[in-house]
Amino acid sequence: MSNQPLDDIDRLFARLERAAVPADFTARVVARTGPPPAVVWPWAVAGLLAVALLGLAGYLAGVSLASSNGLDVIELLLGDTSLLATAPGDVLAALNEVMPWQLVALAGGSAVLLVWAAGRVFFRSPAVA
Amino acid sequence: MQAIQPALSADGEHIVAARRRQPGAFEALVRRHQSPVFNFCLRMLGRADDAADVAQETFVQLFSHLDRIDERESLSPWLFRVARNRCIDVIRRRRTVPMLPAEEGADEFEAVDDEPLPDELAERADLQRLLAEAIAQLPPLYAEVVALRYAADRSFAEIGIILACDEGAARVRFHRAKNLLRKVLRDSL
Repeated sequence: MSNQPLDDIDRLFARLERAAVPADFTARVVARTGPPPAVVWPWAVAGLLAVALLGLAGYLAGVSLASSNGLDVIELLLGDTSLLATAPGDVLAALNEVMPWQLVALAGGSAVLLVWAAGRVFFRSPAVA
Repeated sequence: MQAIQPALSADGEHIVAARRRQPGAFEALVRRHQSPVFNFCLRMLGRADDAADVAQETFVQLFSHLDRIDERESLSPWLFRVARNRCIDVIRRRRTVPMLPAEEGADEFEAVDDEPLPDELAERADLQRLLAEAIAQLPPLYAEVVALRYAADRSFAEIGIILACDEGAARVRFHRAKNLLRKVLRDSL
């Protein structure tokens, strides 16, 4: 305020009470200026799709292994893991013949997508004001 | 050789931090200015809900203009300019007839009344209502200068910046507004 002497109007309006700001005012402003709420549903859909792909790839890989002698090769390897040390080249060659690699890759990709999507749905970072 | 940068004000630091989306920085700006801005709007509009809406829009506009505001300048005049323009928009919408241009029509309210008001007025139980209604009866041209001075505690230098006139013109307008207030208050007795 200035150093001018106060007159009757100044003295009267010095009594004008300051109204309290509504209690939720700051929160309302901050809510309107915060980042938009994260959109979750696309990630939920992606997660469900990943689960379906993972199931399908697993089923088809199982069918493929069962129709070849792949299950026998895997059973043999699990029964004698020392084969990996003694004849790694033969083991890899045998696996390469029986494994449905495209289905394994599809299952792996689906698993990665599932973990990623679940992370986005369940562990969103908090909104910054 | 690098020029020495002057230290930023608290507002300036909050503006810089808010631009970087630092948590709490914008909220701090709102908290620092919300009371005078809200009270200014309240005295301009006379209704708390309208005042809260306008003050809220003012701060939302501040948020969207953070990148364009000079953090070395005082923030208050910018806020009050925005709030004032929004208040005038609300007043225009309320009226069924168009508002008169700023200076036009003000003279008809001009009345020289410098007789002091009776002291009993200050003791009235309904003083707050009387004061609020007296401001509300002023043309917006005068209501804004009274609201800036009495409700938002702005200096004449700031009022001049907010109203885009020089400090002397702000003082003159305020003096005329006080004469009008005196007349309105006397009529209400």
